[in-house]
Amino acid sequence: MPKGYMGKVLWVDLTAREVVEETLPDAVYRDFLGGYGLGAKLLFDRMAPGTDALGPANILGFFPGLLTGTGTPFSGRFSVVCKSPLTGGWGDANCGGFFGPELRRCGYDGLLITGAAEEPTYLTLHKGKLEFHSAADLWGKNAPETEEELKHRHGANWQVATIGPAGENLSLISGIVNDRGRLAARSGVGAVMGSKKLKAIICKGHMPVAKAEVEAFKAGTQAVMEQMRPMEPEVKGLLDKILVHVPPMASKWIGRLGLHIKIPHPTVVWSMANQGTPSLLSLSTESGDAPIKNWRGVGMRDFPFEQAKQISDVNVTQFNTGFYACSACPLHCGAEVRVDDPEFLIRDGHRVEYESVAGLGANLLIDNLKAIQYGHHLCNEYGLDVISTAVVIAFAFECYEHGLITQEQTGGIPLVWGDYRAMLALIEMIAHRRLIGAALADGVKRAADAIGQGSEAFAMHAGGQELPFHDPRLTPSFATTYLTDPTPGRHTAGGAHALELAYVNHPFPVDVPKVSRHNYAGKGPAHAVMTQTKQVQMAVGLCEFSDHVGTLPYQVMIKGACGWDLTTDDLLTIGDRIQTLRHAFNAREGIRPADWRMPDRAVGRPPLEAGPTRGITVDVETMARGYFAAMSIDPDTGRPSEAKLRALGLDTAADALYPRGEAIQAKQQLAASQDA
Amino acid sequence: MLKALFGPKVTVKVRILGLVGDRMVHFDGQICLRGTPDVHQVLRAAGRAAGVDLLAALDAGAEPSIMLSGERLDLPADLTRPVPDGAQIAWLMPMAGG
Repeated sequence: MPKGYMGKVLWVDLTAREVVEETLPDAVYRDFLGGYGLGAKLLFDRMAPGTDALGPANILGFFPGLLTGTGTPFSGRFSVVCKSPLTGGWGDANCGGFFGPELRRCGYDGLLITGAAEEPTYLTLHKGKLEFHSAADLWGKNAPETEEELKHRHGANWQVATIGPAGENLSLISGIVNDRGRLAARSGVGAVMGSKKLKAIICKGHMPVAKAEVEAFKAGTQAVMEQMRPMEPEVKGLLDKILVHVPPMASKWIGRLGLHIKIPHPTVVWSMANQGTPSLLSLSTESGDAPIKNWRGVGMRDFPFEQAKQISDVNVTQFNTGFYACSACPLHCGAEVRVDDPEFLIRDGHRVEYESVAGLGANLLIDNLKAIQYGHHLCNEYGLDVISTAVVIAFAFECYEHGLITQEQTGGIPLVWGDYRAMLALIEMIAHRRLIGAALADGVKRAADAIGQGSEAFAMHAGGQELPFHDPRLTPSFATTYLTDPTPGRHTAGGAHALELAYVNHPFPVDVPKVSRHNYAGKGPAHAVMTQTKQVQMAVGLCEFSDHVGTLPYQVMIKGACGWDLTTDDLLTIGDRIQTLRHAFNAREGIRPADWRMPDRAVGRPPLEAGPTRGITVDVETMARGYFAAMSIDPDTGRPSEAKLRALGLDTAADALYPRGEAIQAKQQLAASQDA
Repeated sequence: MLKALFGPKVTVKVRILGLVGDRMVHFDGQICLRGTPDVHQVLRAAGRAAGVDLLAALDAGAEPSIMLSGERLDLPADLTRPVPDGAQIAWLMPMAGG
């Protein structure tokens, strides 16, 4: 009977060149759904604590979401999981494109790689047959070249996930690339793949993901599309012109006459569909969301609005050759670009994203869009996480400013704020571990440890992972998210920050306590609920931009695919289970939240002296304690309480984290509380 | 009342960025008022010029950063603050994406 999932995963041992198919009980899917939920379950159970993240025993897992491949709108996502070499704890990265659905249509809900090949290797998967191939001739090629070559060899309709030179060189800020430039970027997953000498995985599906209840599935899909309809960019070209040109001209007269006219404003969906994520940059620099000059500057003063607009808004569309959508995505926030300028030549690339214009642009005071687009493209080619790369470049600029990095270490290139040539040169150095790039390739924490001399203050990371470009001084709960999530330094992890932003869409209908941005006490329960909803979103494989459409009928979509009747409470419990297990993974590795802290300047210590976030110091400690309390997690050790672990059915984790005596006592407490 | 009709002309530059209600606004222009308008009056007029209702958004719980010539205002206390001729008022609604 169709059940919306394949019911099995494939294990590949690169050392022994063995392949094992494992069938998973239905209950595992009910408890963890798919995506990194399933990944967390399998990695916690099968990986020994203390495993070397770059050793053969680390498990590198590829997990499409529960709905990935079903055709559900926004369901093109997959997760890569492993022990992170960057943080030493739980690692995951998320990506769209077409690889995830294709992997699922190969008949597996997950592909888990162990061991390490002796020589560069790539894997092919089709019709249940996994084969090992030499990648000796591919080693050293960049990601799009590798994809092109493999598609030439095996067929254009195969999907490819590959590392670039950065992953081969074990850069801890490298990711895994599919669709010629989409990255599962974070947690250093590219280095783990490189450590296994695994250049690429390519697959071609042969079977649909059968739905349990086709009519319910259609109803869910239709409901999502109905929600989309009023937001669709039906008058794209005309509306674009009106919005860009008319209001500034007309406003003087409108205001003078005191008229109240209805100007056709776009929705977020319209904005994303037309200009993608970088459309937000000028707002972000102006509002204080985008950090400036390695988090020391003020957008209004140091990177003014007119400068920001050069790398934002409609300007980012100037290199477009067409729009790009991930599998099953009705939004198409991506675009393909071409740049003919010989200095920044891009024949076929992906448009910049918000994080690249913020990180390679505003944060470095660079306003040359072609250079930023080219830097973004280089990161995609080399397989570098653009967030982490931009952070280490800003760090290098500041070190150079203070004389802690010299021109001897940069090949004679001065690292001056606003100089795009320095930015581009550093990307090359990082990818190939040349000169100062050798230190920067290991991430900003390790680079600061190596350079010392107070450079730690310039290293913008949480728990070893570089911070993305959303400033907690404007949106305080980002600090909680960056600091407390099992994969720290992630803006895409769940948290109350979503409630502090302008849009308040929850993935699925749920009651969340109201929060106010700069009231720090009492946010824990809201933060916990928002992380739980996010776990569900990741586990089913929906893009978080689906939140822009509104609260979606998750229960209907899951029922259609799997036939399950899940309540909101069921979904929250699943989310709680996944998040708790990810925390338990870190606790078992001996990672203590008490040892992690936010960089001072990211939380306003000292506060900025101007701009929208002037004078603000974020009390992240209070917010973090509130979150841990709401999740029943010890804020010092990071251990979820044993009672909670057992209540969620996470007995393996409970047994691992609690010595026997404590375990018996906790079981008795649980039994007593249940009786009560 | 009469001041609002016949008082001296006050020109205010207006910048409204981000979501207001469910609309994505990117407005950069200027408005003219009479008399000695305060922040509340400027926001009302600015909203009209941009085709949105900023005061309704505030009532609905929006927490924008409102800047008067580069200085962040504290709401609701500063709603009665006078806005001088040539000032710039910015309504910046925090968003994050990508």
